[in-house]
Formats: sequence, C-alpha cells, structure tokens
Amino acid sequence: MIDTDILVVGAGPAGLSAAAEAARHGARVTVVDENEKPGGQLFKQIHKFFGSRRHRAGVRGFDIGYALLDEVKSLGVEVMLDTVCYGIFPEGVGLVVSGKRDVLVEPRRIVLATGASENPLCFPGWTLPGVVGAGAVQTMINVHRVPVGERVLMVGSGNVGLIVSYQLLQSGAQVVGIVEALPKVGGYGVHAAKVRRAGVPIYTSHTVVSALPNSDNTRVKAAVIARLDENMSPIPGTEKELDVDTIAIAVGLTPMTELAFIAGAAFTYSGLLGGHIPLHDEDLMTTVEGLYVAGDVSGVEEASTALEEGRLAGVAAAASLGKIPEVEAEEKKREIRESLRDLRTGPFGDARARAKEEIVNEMAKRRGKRSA
Amino acid sequence: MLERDGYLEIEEIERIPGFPGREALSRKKVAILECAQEIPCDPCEAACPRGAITVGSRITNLPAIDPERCTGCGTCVARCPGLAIFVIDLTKPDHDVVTMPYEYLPLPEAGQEVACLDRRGAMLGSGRVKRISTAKANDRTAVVTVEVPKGLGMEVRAIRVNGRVLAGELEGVKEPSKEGLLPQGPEDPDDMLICRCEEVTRKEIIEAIREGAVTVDAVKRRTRAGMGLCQGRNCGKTVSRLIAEELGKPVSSVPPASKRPPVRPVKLSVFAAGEDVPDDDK
Ligand SMILES: Cc1cc2nc3c(=O)[nH]c(=O)nc-3n(C[C@H](O)[C@H](O)[C@H](O)COP(=O)(O)OP(=O)(O)OC[C@H]3O[C@@H](n4cnc5c(N)ncnc54)[C@H](O)[C@@H]3O)c2cc1C
Ligand code: SF4
Ligand code: SF4
Repeated sequence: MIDTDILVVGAGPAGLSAAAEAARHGARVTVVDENEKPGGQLFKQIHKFFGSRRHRAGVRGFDIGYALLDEVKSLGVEVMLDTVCYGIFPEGVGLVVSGKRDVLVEPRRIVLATGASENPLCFPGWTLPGVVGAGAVQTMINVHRVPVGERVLMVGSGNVGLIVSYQLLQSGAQVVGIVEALPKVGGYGVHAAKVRRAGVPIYTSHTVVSALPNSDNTRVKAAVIARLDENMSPIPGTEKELDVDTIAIAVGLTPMTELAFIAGAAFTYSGLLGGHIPLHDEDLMTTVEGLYVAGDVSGVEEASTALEEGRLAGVAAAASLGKIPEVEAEEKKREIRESLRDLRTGPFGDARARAKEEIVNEMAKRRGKRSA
Repeated sequence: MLERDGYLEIEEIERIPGFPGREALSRKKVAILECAQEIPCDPCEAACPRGAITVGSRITNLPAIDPERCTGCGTCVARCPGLAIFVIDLTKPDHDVVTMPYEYLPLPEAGQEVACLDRRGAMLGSGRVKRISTAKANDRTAVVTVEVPKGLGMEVRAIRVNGRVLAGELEGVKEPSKEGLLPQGPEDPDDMLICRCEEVTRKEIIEAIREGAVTVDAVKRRTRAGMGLCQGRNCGKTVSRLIAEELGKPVSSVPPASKRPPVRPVKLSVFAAGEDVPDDDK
C-alpha cells in the first residue's frame, strides 16, 4: 500500500505543477504516469513554446519538462513512472507498476491530469499503413528519431497540424500540403507563416477524401483531396491527387476522461474543449468529493493553461486538507484564476474562456439544486 | 491573407503595431514584428535590451515596435517562438539586408549563396549570407543575415540552403483529368472500418443505429465496436458522429460511452498475483 495525501495521475505540465504546488505546502504527493519519461506532451515538443514569460514561453517544450521535473523532485514528490492507473474504486485507486505489480492506493485527494488523446478521421483507405496520428509522428521523429515517410500530407491546420508539419520539415521529410476543412487556418498565424514560407501550401476548405494504396496494399501511395462546399461536402471535379507515402491526422483531441467516468463524476459537453468533460467547479473539483481535474482532461487547451490549472488544483487539494491557511489559499487561487483569465483572451481565447465559465456555472447550478 | 492562406500580405503587415513604418524603414535598420493575432504570447517584450518592444499588461496584446529605440541589434529574432521577428535594412544603395531566424540543417555559412523565398515560399532570386549567429542564448535557433536583391527587403522571409527543397512543392500533384473524376479510392466508404480493433465497418454501424442502437454503448453491444484493445478511444467519437448524423441531432446530445476499468489493457496475471508478489519480481 502506498501512503500518500494526494495522488496525481499524469506527469504532464498539469500533473507536475499540481504536484509541485501541493508539495510546496507540505502535502505528501505521489505522481504516476504510464510512460517511462515524465513530461506528458512536453517531451515531444522540440519547438519554442509561445505563452507568457511566466510560463516559460520561448523555452523549448522538453526543457520546460526537465525544469518542472527538477522542481517536483526537489520538493520531495514521489514520481512513479511506467505506472498505469487503471481505475478508481470505492476501496481505492488501482495502479499497475511496470506492467506487473497491482497496487491499491488510498489517497485523500486525487488530481486527474491525464491529458487528451488524438481524434481519428475515417475515410476510405484510413487503415492503410502510412496513415498516422500527428502525435504519433511527433513521437517517432522527435523522441525516437525515426523518419515516418518522405512525403507527407497533413490533415488539419490547428496548432498541432502546423507545428508537426514544421517539425517534419526540420526532420528532413517533405510536407506536400496541409488540408483544412474550414475556410480558415485553425492554428496561430505565426505557426502557419513558418510552414508557408518554406513552401508548404495550405488548402483551406479542403479535405482528404481517400488514401490510395500501393500495388501490394502495404502502404499509402497517394492521397486524394477535394474542395468542400458550404455544407462540408466534397465538390466533384475538384479532386487533386497528391503523391505521398504518409498522411498525418491532426483533427483535434479528446480529453481522456475514463477515470473520472469510472469514479462516478458527472459530465458536460463542450465541442470547443474537445467533447465530454467532467463537470468541475472554480477549484477544478468534480462532482466527486476530493477528485480534481486539471489540464487537457478538463478541456483541451494549451500547456500554459495546463500549468496554471495544475497549480490551482494543487492549491485547492492541499488547502482542503488543511495544509494552507484559508485566507492564503483563497488569495493564491484568486491570483491563478486571474492569470488563467489573462491567458484566455484574444480571438482564440475568448471562446474558451466562455466555455470554461459555462462549465463552472453548470456545476454551481447543480450544487444549488442539491442544497435547495 | 493570413487567415485563409497562412501568410500576411504587405497591406496586412502595414496595419499592425509591429510594423515600424515606411518612414523609419527608409532611414534605418529596424526590427519588424510580423505578429498580427492576439495570441497569449510575450517573450519578445523582455527580449529587447532597449525596451523597443511593448506588449503591455494584457498578454494577448499585439507587440508594438518603437523604431526610435530599436537599434536593429537582432537580439529579439531568436527569442520569438513564432519566428515572426525580422530585422531589415533598406538603406543600402545596392542591396537590402534581412536578418531572419533559421531552424533547419544544414546551416548556411557566411558568404554562401542561398535562394531567397517570400512569405509563400516562392523563389525570388538569390542572396548571399552575410553573417550567421548560433549564440548559446539563441537556444539552437540560428540567426542568419542575408543580403538580398535591392527592393526585396520587405519580401524575402526565408532561404533555401544548398538547394534543399523543404516543402513538397507542387510536383506530383495531379489535377482532375478531362473525364472529371480521379479513381475514388480503394474501397466503398460503406465497407470502411470504423472500429479497427474489432473490424466493424461503417455499414454495420449504420445498420445497428437504424435498428435502434442510438447510443455509443448500444452500438457497442450490438456490433462490438469499441470493445477492442483501445477501449473505444479510437472509434468512440466517430460512432457518436454517425449516430448524430443518422438522427439529425447535434453530437452533444449523444451521451458519452460508459467506461469500465481497466482503462488500459492489463494482463490478468497482474490481478492474480495481487499485491504480494515474490521478491524477485519487485
Ligand atoms: C504538437 C503540439 C504542440 C504544442 N505546442 C504548444 C505550445 O507551443 N504552447 C503551449 O502552451 N501548448 C502547446 N501544446 C499543448 C500542450 O502540450 C498540452 O496542452 C499540454 O501538454 C497538456 O498538459 P496535460 O498535463 O493536461 O496533459 P499531457 O501533457 O498530455 O500529460 C498527460 C499524461 O498523463 C498520462 N496518463 C494518461 N492516462 C493515464 C493513466 N490512466 N495512467 C497513468 N498515466 C496516464 C499520459 O500518458 C501523459 O503522460 C502543444 C501540443 C501539441 C500536441
Ligand atoms: S532588433 Fe534589437 S533593439 Fe530592435 S527590437 Fe529587436 S532586440 Fe530590440
Ligand atoms: S514573441 Fe513573437 S509570437 Fe510572441 S508576441 Fe512577440 S512577436 Fe508575437
């Protein structure tokens, strides 16, 4: 049995910063992650992060990961890698360590910081070798340093599609184009401009209609793309066939909420934030007492917001255990919420701010009903 | 247009506060911040040792350049994670000079001839590398200063080194043939797999929905879609979308699939062993 005050599931930016904040205030914290390396998404990110200086913007993703890890270690947090959390039960939290040891933990608080998983896209040929998720591409080229292919079509122009395209170019692959179903580029203009000036065309209002196989059906040989009309249907006669051996899919992420579901948390829906999301309050606590969510699992956003949400959940969880005097805790939470509000402004952030607010309001309404 | 095409037109640049102004450009070397969207980002502000860049109190403000304070030192170029800052000098009589960030290999050498590309990646002519800085403070972003043909200082934003083509260019693109359509693809969309773990096709799922399986769980019970190794993490969203399409309802109205532990595949022997594993296994 592992004895700990707070169990954090997921060692990405949200989980690590939650752990650091709680440990700083004297809570005993254990972080588990299924990977052999901590850092979550950060370790795949070789580019310099945007964001605020306070969130280490301008620093490369993996360097942010190393810094966070040093911080939690120096605060005495136990980080258990290669450890899967497979369920949350009335008797405790189930972990499998190194694929073989089943361990039950009874923490007093749980912070879920499990991140998000990639959405698939189904089109004829999508099961052919050579059709891969953009996240998998990153793991291959940036972590394991193996090429995915020579000529790549990227599907999706959100920040993930744009950044992974750029990293593919850096790795020596040719990116023949980026298709985007919407009439405008989804990600930040600065990321789009980087790949554009290298010569990558961005086909807005286009989608991939099929992947064509090579003669022995072992690999993608070409992608067929087509222009979309206002109803998002391909316009016959606008097809283009692109010679590619790889089609990378970057069409959004879905919060990995299974553990919250199993624990019995109530859910709400936000298309903008990635789908079904555990309802949570201003402290990021779900409808299950003592169960918190932070980072992409509470709505897909960015590393900078994940770091702040992690801090918020860490402070809230530690405060609920009496580790932080109430006045001080409230002051801290207020400061973090302000910084989150600041990060959620501008044309990209405003809508997210509203979506997040709606979740908190729905939670408040639900509580009101309960107590009424 | 930035939103549609992914790059800024000159007219768009002239309207943002990161543009130093034609007058300043005509008389001095100065930084230009091609950052036109209110994104949460601000490292440029602290990067400038002369206080020439201001973002201000709201992190999403557009960065503004003060051309009078800017000396064109180039410190800010490698600090911008968006690689959106350039220093340009249009004052030389026989060429313009552009300083830009460069994050590809091989790096060019001083004196080397390189191809000059514009914001769309189109070739504009050739230039010569005047200087390249790989200072430690730049954290692996090289800063390259290139002499470009006179009149192109506001156009050149990338270089091609040793002829290495970065993007796929447009070679290998086949437009629709005269007859119209290209071969549609390897398979009938109906035979396409939606759940690849359990090999369930689109047709089987649609049929299940039409027979009344209108939740992800009901489709799963009827077709096994989502019962495989990935636990529905792959197909779940597609199945919800198909249900929504068939019912003519928004996806938000389709309840999430129920999840059961273990959320990841776990070998049964792990549970059998319990917590008391022999010492040699620890
Ligand atoms: C290509 C790309 C570029 C990006 N660029 C930027 C950028 O420039 N700036 C920025 O601010 N953001 C950026 N982001 C976004 C950022 O990386 C994410 O928003 C952030 O990592 C989310 O943090 P997180 O801690 O919530 O989740 P993650 O970083 O995803 O971490 C979650 C961790 O939990 C683990 N886990 C999940 N389930 C379990 C379980 N059951 N048991 C054990 N462990 C589990 C996962 O394996 C993972 O390690 C980028 C993302 C991508 C994909
Ligand atoms: S070029 Fe130098 S002086 Fe000008 S804005 Fe950049 S850092 Fe400041
Ligand atoms: S650092 Fe670059 S991307 Fe960020 S605000 Fe400044 S100019 Fe824009």
